[in-house]
Amino acid sequence: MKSKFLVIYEKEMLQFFKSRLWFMTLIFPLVITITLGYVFTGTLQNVPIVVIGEDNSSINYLKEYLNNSFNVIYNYNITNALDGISSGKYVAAIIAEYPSNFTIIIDYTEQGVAQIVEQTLSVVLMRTYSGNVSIYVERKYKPDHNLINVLPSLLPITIMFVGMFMMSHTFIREKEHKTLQNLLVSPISRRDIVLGKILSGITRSVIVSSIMILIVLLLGIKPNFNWGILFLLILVSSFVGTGFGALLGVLFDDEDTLDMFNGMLMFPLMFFSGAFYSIYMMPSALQLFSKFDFLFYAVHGFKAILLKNAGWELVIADILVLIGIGISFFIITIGVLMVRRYE
Amino acid sequence: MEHILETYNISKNFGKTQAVKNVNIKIQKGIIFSLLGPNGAGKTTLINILCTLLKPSIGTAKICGFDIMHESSKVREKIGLVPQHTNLYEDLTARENLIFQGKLYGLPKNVIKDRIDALLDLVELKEKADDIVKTFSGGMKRRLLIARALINEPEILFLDEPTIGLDPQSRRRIWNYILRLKKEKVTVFLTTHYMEEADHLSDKVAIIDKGEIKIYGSPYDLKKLIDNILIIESDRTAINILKNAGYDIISNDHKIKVRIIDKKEILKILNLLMKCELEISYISFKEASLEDVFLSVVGKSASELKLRGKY
Repeated sequence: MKSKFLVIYEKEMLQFFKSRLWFMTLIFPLVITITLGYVFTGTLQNVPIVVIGEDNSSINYLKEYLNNSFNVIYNYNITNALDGISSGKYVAAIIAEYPSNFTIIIDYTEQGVAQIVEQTLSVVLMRTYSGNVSIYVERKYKPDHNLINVLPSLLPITIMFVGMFMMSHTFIREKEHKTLQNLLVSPISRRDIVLGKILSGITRSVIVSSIMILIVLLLGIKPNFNWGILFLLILVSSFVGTGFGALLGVLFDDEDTLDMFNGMLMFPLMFFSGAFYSIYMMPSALQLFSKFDFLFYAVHGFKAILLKNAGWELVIADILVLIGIGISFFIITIGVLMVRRYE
Repeated sequence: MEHILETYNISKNFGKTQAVKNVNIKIQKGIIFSLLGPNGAGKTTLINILCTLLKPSIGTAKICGFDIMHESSKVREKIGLVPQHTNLYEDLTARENLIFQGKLYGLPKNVIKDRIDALLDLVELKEKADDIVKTFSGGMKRRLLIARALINEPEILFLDEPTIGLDPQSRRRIWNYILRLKKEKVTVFLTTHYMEEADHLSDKVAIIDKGEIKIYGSPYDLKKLIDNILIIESDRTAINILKNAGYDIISNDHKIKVRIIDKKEILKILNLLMKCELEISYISFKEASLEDVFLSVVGKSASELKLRGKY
């Protein structure tokens, strides 16, 4: 006689293969393995640095040394080079006063990368110009407190994931409890249903982010940034996160599959955003993927505001891209709600 | 005669399955209409189409003069729906559920308040108004669903199996509310597979089977299509007497079964037999029920029904 636990096992497996979960189970390890195992090489690739100096031949010499990890650009104009650092175009600048004086200016908004760049450039310069070389390092945007350093990563991740998870679940709940049916037979448009839900999601995300900022302030850390732009970026990031959550919520019908999908999506979204690991640690070809990750634009924007005290000119592109993505999610969600059957 | 609901050749296909086939019905204002059918006959699909939740594959319908395909938002303002499954916000109170519903319909605050008081009174939930719905019994939830569906004072109320799974007492309560709605001139479109419910409440009944409306009429008219049977135990000579008098004898074993149309004929038959000095040792009368109509219609093809010449 078959043991009873095997009967339960068989039933569980039958249900599993009949659900969408089994497909997700195939995809999940694939995504995780690629993201964690392949994306992060541990070495730097394609880090843009600018060299300002009068001797071209020396630059070529430097290029040979740095070729594998750095993308070396030569620039006569120191102002352009410094602007490039503040806009994020360059990670570091070497001001060369040949033969023996060098100043390295490094953008410390990505501390991990900045430290490696600082060490690598110092060693390379010492080796290239052996002798009495004087190297002065200027660490730009290095925050006084570690919390400020991680805040630009924590804020967008929290805002977006809170929005994404909570919003997708509110839709699933409406479907599972069939309350969505009541909304759909009431004189309220699909647009208003989605808009109302997204606004509530934005409110929740704003509350969460406000608490995080409040903690920073209560700890006595006095950040120096533009509050208006920060608030706008919080709103826009919340809009994208909740918009994406709404889309997932109307697409999925059960919590199990949704949770698995959310979990699976979290890793690539986080890693390609450059929130905790610099995208310069990925193979060059994969660095392009970051451009398709909405979290990347939020992280970039928050770093600019919180670490560089940036004004509109540095974050407007990120904000516009995020608004575009948010509106796309919003429109697609309404479309799905109109087309799909929710009886 | 004013029709609040008219359907025009409504059909709905789900892949290769035709859930609703060429439905043409007209429902007068202020009546209780019941749609009867076995499980999977297409009742809920038809209600979902009429409530604008589903689009028909072919055909359309007009509710209060508004087309369900092109004027769906106007249709939604005129209807109320009590679905088969409880779909209340269970973490909110009864009052909060009703306030939300009132706001969905854009009603002013004072109107919402007045209507909630009246509706909670109607469904006898006034004392539970501020209790979380999660704590309600099945019957209470159904009553709250009815109250919710009435918040916009709909001209037509759709009730999809409103008493399914309820105890007899709760069922009776729901029936009373439905009859009160009729008094208030609300048209009720009801789906059920409880025959006695349809019989008790309805002015008009349609029986749907495999997506097709098989029969439509008042319960009285439909029941007339099925024979009433008078069962008598008497001398065998009674058979010939009744046959000679023009009665249709459908069984003549130890009990004589006589097919009759009108109850008044019972007395005539008894008088006839007594005149002939026949002793009647047993008599019973089986009146045709809606269930008999239902069973004789469901599962039969249109051609079979035609052959019997009754539908």
